[in-house]
Amino acid sequence: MHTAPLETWNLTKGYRFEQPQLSPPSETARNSDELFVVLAFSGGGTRAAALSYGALAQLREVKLHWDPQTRMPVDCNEADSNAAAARACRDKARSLLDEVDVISSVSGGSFTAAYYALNREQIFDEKGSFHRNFLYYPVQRDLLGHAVYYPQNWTRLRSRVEIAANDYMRNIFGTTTFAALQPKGRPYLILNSTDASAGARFEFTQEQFDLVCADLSAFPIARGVAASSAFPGLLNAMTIDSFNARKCGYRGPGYRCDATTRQCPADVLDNDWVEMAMHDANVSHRRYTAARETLAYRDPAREHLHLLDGGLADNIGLRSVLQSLNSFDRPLADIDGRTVRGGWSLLDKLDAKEVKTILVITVNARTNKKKSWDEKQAGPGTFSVINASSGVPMGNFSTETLDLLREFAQEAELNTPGQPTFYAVEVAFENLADADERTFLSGMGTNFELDPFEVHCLIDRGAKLLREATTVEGGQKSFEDVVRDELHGSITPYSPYPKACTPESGKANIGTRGHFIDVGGDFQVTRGVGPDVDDAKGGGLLVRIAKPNGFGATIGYGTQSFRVNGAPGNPAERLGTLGLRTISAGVFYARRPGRFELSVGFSGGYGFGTFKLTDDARDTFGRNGVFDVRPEATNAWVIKPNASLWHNLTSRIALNLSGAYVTARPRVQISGGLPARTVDASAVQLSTGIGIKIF
Amino acid sequence: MEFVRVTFGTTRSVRVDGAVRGQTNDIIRMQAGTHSFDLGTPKDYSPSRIMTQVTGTSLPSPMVITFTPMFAAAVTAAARSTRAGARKTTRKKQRPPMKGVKKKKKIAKKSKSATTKRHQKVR
Repeated sequence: MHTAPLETWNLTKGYRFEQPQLSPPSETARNSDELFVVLAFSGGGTRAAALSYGALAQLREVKLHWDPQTRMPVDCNEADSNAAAARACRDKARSLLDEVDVISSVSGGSFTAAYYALNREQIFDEKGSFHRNFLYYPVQRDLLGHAVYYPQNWTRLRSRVEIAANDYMRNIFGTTTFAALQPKGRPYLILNSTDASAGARFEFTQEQFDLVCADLSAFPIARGVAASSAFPGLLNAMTIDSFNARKCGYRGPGYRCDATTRQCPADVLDNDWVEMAMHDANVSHRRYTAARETLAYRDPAREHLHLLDGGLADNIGLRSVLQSLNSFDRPLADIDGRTVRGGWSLLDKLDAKEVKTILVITVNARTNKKKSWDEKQAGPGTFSVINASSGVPMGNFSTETLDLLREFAQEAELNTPGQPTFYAVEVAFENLADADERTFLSGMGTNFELDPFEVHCLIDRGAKLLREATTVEGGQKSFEDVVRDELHGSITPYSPYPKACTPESGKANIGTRGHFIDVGGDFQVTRGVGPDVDDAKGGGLLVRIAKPNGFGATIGYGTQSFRVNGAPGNPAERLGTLGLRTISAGVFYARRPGRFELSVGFSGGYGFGTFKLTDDARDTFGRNGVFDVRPEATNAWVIKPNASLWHNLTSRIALNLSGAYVTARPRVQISGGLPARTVDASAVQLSTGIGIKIF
Repeated sequence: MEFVRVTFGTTRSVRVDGAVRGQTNDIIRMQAGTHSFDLGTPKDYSPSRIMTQVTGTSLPSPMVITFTPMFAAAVTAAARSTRAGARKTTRKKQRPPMKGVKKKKKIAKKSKSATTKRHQKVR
């Protein structure tokens, strides 16, 4: 899929923070700059998405009363002395969710962030597409299904991220582009991904796209979410095109610099932060690095950018918030005599005294699974090491990012008399008071397929963790205190789901996850139905790709040995053993009631035949003067209708019992002995085996 | 985080890095590094711009940047000399040191004129 080029660089067009209105014109204004609320949603698959959803649902239950004079929340009882006025004040209640100004998200959190930014209250519709097609839906199984089942996707396996993007378009976001977000006002959505070449954060904002002369307005939101959650290995990088060589009249930061050599003119422009920052290597290395990264995107030699999961550069979505809090480096343009600002800077708003209170809520779905590596001398295996090599740095980096937020709160010297107030809270599993709940929630996997019970727990505890969160800048206040004392609001607890979310309740409530790809072995007992062959036994291997309810596919390898009758002189006696090594493939239709799965299918393949004479038969030939006996069996097609019953013992292991009717007709020839004849190897086959889920 | 106080005789808007970020005598927060300060229009202050590296400040002891008012005559004289200086600098700049550079400038000029057509004056 191609990226649309940007015709002309223009800071007043495209999806940018500085929208003409805070709320859509059709709605009553319900957002303000004075109370500035920022949400940061971390990565972590469905776990992160559900936890973020819980926080959103709780924010919706925080009610504030708005004072049009101060443009801040007010205590109705304090503001009005008479009951009627107090009632009128209370009627103006709005939720804290309506006050959210920016949502910055990564990976799994991007699903919740993007869906809310696009569909607002519809996200809470339990029959809506977010619940039905994402939160409670086995997304990753569907992704693999689309990759495996549809032949048109086989050639696109190197661009798996596009298969994912198409899936998200079909089921969750539609074909809506970022242009649809423009008229919706706040919250402003920042989806974060990682530029694979530079290792830098790449956000889906028009300011970022300006640097490569591309138009974000024509870019589907589903693709942005897919890029943000393109975990290396599972998905490949998403490619977007750079049009720098074509030019778009870019006059933003660093436009006079040589992007290839990263050199800027000696006469520094006073409104170009990149030119100034190039002198700051020893004073502010962070600013200097940001300037160099900006120039790197301007390089006309980079015709394409490759984007990976945002978690590689920032797994909690806080870096863009920190950048905004710490810096007012942003594009500027003079249009019709006024200075137009691109990007978003909370520091700008603080300096301009437009902001009175800043509230930053980070929803961090990091896990802390107990590792048993140190109990064994051998240490972690290869897969564990690969997993750790991506997870450990991401976790450490996230911790450092939170430290930077604490540092900002201290260094900026806010929350002092006459200064704006700043509160930052973190929703994280480690803040749960109950150790069992902590173990259960932080032991969940990072994937896009959780059990409904797990999703319920994450939503419920996400809301609870927000209510009980304490401010990170000093640990002095809880979120509830901030709402009550600072925002004069009230919280209704959002707690619709289970009372216990512990490993024990998990065992009792979590159903067996459906197997999607199994590998297994089986043992087959065959009973010949024709006169030519007798009973046989053999083993087999199987790879099985199954949908919970629908069509599936199998690939199998089997070995069968049939006893063939027709010895010389006594047709009822055994002549020898016919061996068939069969490679087969087939399709089946499965239904899954509970832990069981019943499937009916049909497979066909090719059997490679061998034939071995019995000693008695060889002796008989010898007695008849035939010594040069060479038994042979031709290869033959094998047809095998079958029915299977699977029992999912655990989330990993399933037992299988199958019945099949096997038909094969190889020809057996004994050179110098008997004339060639076709053997009817039709047989009823019963097999039992074990399947191990690999996905 | 750095803290700067810009002082001037009267209350004026303070431009930092090309945009208004606060008022004179107020504390302006900013990231450490090189920043440019001026008071916008009218240009009745001196110097016309201060570009300096801001570092090592705190809220109790911010960096203080001072602009002083200029008399009208001095303003006119300064404006004349600034314009003359600017012309001189521009002429000097336009002299192409190499053929390749000249070509690049032509392209830049073309794209600038296209932008101007869309009534977008870029600073």
